[in-house]
Amino acid sequence: MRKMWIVTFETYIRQVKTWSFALMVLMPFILALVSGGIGFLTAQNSSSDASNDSSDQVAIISSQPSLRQSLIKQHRDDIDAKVTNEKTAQSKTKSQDLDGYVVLNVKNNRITATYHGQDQIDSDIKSDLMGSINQIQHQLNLKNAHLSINQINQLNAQPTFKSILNKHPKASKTSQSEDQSGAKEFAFFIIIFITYMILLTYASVMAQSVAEEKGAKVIEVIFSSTTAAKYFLGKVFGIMGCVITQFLIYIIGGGIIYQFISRIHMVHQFLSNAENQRMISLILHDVLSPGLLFVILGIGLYLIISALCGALVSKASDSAKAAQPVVFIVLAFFIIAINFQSSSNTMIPKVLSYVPFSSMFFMPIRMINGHVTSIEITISLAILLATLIILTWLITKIYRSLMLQNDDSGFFRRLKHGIQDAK
Amino acid sequence: MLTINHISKAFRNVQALSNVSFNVQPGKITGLIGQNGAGKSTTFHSILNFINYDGEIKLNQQPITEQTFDKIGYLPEERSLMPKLTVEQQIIYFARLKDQSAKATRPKIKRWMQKFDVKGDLKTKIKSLSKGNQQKVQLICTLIHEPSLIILDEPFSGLDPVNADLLKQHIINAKQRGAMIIFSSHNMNNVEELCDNLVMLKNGHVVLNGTTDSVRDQFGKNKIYVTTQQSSAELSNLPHVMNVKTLEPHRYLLMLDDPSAGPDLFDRITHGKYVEEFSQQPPTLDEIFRMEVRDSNA
Repeated sequence: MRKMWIVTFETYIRQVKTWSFALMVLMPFILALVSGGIGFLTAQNSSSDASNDSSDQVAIISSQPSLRQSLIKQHRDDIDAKVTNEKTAQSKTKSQDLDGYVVLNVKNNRITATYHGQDQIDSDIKSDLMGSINQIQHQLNLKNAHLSINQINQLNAQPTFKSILNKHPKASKTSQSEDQSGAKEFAFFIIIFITYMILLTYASVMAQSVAEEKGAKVIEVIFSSTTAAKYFLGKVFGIMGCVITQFLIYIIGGGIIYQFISRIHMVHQFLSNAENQRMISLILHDVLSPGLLFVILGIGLYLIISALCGALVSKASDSAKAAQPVVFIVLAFFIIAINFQSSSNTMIPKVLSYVPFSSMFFMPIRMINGHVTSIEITISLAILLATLIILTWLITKIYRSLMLQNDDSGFFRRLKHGIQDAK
Repeated sequence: MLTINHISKAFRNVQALSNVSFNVQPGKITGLIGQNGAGKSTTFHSILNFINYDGEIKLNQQPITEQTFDKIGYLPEERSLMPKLTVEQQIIYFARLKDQSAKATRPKIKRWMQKFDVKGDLKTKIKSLSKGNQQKVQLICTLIHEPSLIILDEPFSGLDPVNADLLKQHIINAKQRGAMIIFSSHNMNNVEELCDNLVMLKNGHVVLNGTTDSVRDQFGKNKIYVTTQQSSAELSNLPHVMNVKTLEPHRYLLMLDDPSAGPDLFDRITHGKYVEEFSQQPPTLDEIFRMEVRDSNA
């Protein structure tokens, strides 16, 4: 076993010491810094613009104080309550201390709102004010219609919308609010994209690393020191170590970044909001579920297939192409998974959630959506685990002959020869 | 002792080795010779368990397993180094795979680099070394753990005469400390100079096997090299001449059925006149090699 760990350590160290690994790991932090910086600068700009311009407020002028007060009460942030007459409003608009002012008149029980300003009224303020004015007008209409309470109730009757969800009888009984649904969708995208990115990256790293050593003929020296099985497992564990390192860096780095950004007022406000907290905990709950086991085992499965593909390359110059078969499979399942995100209980996702090479994409989705029982999860997990063990065992049997053959035939012919020579 | 007993190997329709048997003794150097494709590398690959074969190979009466690998130093025919590593990283990695600690290996590296006169230092990347220096680093990787069985597949290729002499000296040093050494080479001068024993393969069969002297004796006493204007047919009619091989125009190798016929043949060929060459001697390994190859092609 010692020699297997030597190969593991060597593979791991050689990968993590490269610039490409450092860049790959740091890229999300760099992107976060860049986008955060851009966001900060934009916010700074807009706030200084806002302070340079008017205060984004309007004044309400009306001969009816109750009407005016009612609007001020509802839209404190949008209305400058200190301005009470048209003359002051005109002067403040001219000096750009106000965007403009709205004159409200009530004639024949009909409210008329007239906006005066240098530019068009802000669309948000307009829609807010119109919403409130509509309500006041509605109450005025009801009052003037002299209706009975019964008639008023009839007029106020609203249609109702109900959701009846036909959930799997044995699946989680918890009701799914809109927030939960949003959290599930978010969790789905987190899992699917992380899985996809890791597979694309490390399938290539794995295949290329093996193919380079095969192409450089180093493999004969290595096989004169240890067995092909130990070399193969050492390579897989080494690359797996890189995946874990990347995760750990993200967790630790994420923690450090969280400590910093949580001090920013806007972020602090966002995080202290109870609704947002609930949303975050729902997402974390869905991401850190047993579905993660499928992702971890699936990554292991694709890594051993990548190591096999690397062994089927005949020249070092072909090492970049070694991972192509794995990349195509991953891409295909990724696209299918994205398309079936909202209909994960149909036939295709159901079947694919049991197939070893696709269950890592589909079973977590079905679990997030509450479409599977724990027995179904266990069966799928057992199939994935068994495939991983059997494939590892089979590949270790043929790996020596695959790595030592140098014929220039095609991919499948080399695989066939490798199997024949291993007998 | 390395014992190879009746090993055979077929790759699909090609019989690479047929019933090959020979021994490599401690403190002895064995040369494995043969044309390209004769089965030399396949023999090495069988010893190292790279391929499955029929027959039996034992090192010190034990089958070759992963535990035995630590006692073996192997230099493949093609250069096998990781270009991105430094000299130190490369040597330590391979040494660790031979169960040597990095701590114990590190101080040895400089000494070995001096011995082999490697142009570069510990931190030099393999890819920036010349081909010859890469070959030397590869040799250090093969020898640094002082293996008891050393397998060298074409060790002299890529080395200039000075460095080839350096390598010969290290092979002799390893022999003196009791290592079993087997190497393949197409350069018969190196084989003749270094080897105690010789095995020649032809189409996967052993055609010569024994000490270098005994192999030469098989041909030696009944061969006459002669350069004369006489024709091959005339020479064939002489008494005790079994066979005449034309080595070059007017230069022949006479195979005798009785080595004592030499003086009589001298008289018959020279007739008391000058001839450019009349030499009764054992053939060189190079000539034996060529003869054997010609025989197989004929």
